[in-house]
Amino acid sequence: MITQELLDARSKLEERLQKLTGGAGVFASESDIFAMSCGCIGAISYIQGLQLEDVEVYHDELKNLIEDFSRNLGIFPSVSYAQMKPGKFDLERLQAHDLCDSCKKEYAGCGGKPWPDMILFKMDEGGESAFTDILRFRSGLEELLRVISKRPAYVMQFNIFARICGCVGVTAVVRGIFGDEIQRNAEEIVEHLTRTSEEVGIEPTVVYTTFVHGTEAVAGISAQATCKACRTTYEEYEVIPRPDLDILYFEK
Amino acid sequence: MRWLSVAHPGHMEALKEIVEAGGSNIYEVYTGGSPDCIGTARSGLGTPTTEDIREQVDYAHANGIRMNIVLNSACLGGRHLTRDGHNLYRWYLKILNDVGVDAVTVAEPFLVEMIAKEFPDIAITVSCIAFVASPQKAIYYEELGADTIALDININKNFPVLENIRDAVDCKLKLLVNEGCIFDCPFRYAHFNLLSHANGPEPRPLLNYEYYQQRCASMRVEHPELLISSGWIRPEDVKEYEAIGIDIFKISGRIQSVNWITNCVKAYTSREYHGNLLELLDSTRELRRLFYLPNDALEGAIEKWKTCDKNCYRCGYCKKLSSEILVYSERRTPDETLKPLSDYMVV
Repeated sequence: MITQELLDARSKLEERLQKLTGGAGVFASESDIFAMSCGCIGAISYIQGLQLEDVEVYHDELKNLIEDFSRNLGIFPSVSYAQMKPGKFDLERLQAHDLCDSCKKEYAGCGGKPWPDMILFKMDEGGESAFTDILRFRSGLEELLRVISKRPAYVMQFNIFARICGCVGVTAVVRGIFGDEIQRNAEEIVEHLTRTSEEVGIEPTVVYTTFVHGTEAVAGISAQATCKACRTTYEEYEVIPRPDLDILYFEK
Repeated sequence: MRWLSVAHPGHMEALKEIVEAGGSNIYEVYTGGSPDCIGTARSGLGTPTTEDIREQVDYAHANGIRMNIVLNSACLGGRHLTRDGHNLYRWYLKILNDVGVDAVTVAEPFLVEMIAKEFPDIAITVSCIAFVASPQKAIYYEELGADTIALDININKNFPVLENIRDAVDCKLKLLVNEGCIFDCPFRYAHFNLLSHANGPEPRPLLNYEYYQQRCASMRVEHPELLISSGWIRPEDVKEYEAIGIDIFKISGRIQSVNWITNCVKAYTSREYHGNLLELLDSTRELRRLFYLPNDALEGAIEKWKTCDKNCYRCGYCKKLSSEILVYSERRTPDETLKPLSDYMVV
């Protein structure tokens, strides 16, 4: 199942990074496979502990590392790069995309530097990705939210994630849907996300929405199989509720 | 005649492509300065050194283009009114002056006056986030020392006010053509204030949420007519503004990819565009993957907006036009399609 592969790929990437840089303080806090609303799919690894000079020194190795990571997950990238934190010298993430036609145009040109805070490893035609189900997951949820809200609700991005703590899950970045609409249709949404999660090998223990802070506008919907430590966060929810979170399902 | 002010992400490769795309239409390029001195109201993606700026100034000048450094923090946190802060700004502006920067864009009246007095070789643009939206405010800034005023985007479709401002001041007037922000946005002041701190000197807030951007995107999905009533100017309509004496037209987007910027430059220099208007708009770009707003369907709407009284609650013209919007569905799947907005909601 893709989620187990993602968990393994995250650990392997972290191990290779630590061996490469000799840095015990270097780690991959989270790895994701994603589908964007434009049609791009890709793989990301969020990295802690590396700087611009590391990226320059280990340029070729980091390129191989993120591309292997992506290919092993069935995504054959047409672009790979290191994304720095805006205006800083810290590496934020390594990323590989199978680009949509529109984004291909944006990434092209400019001597391999479409944005100043990105270090492009490669840009070519890529291959035909093997794992494209994630596009269907994104649009399937979007259509469901549109039916529920009676407006063109928007799933900007759909991710399958594996975190360093052991949590795995699926999460959607959404716009144009509100808490009461989700609540009225909670059962249907939980069922949809559970089914999607199971397709990728996740048995969610918690399903929740996150709000745009201080409002009823929904910013994200997630289904997650929590690790032991993170489970406490949700167990405490009834005692210490979080204003930005609404739990739709929690396996006691 | 040079009439475009073009966003520049900050690296030399980008500058070369922008110059190639816009050629002799480009009056100036603008890019962020050092966030450690004075912030800007947009994220700074690059951190150009003094040498980088000098090299780029030389390249721009060789092509007949001016270099404008944006220092338009909406809030300086009172630093400018301390002796140390004033000296820091003086030190930084001297560096910009020494490397040949032609102009700076500022939003703080103190900086307008201080730069006019201490750096007469640097031209001053008053930022659109100084929200100049009346003849009187324009006069105040001109008297403080402004050479150019970028007007508040909320008056982009208010021709009587634009004409009155033109009558009131002699300085150059600039309009931002491709910002898609909500008309009379309730978040505008607070959002720019937040961004100014997030992209200014330390301490910077460590944000968990970008409330304003997320909230405004949700509002536009709920009310797609907000995409229409926004202050953007279509490439085809630029001539209407030239006719009332607007001097410079600013293309926003210094955090976008270089090819995106050059695509906008090409659309505005050719004065026509046949495609999704949202592809040209800088904010909120995320919605261009949801909605398709055919630019051709907006032909002639400028005539209505020229006399619009901005009472959206009783007009309904932009809401009616929103029926032209199409919605993307099932992207990059076998069922991918564009559907009318009316398939999803009552228009």
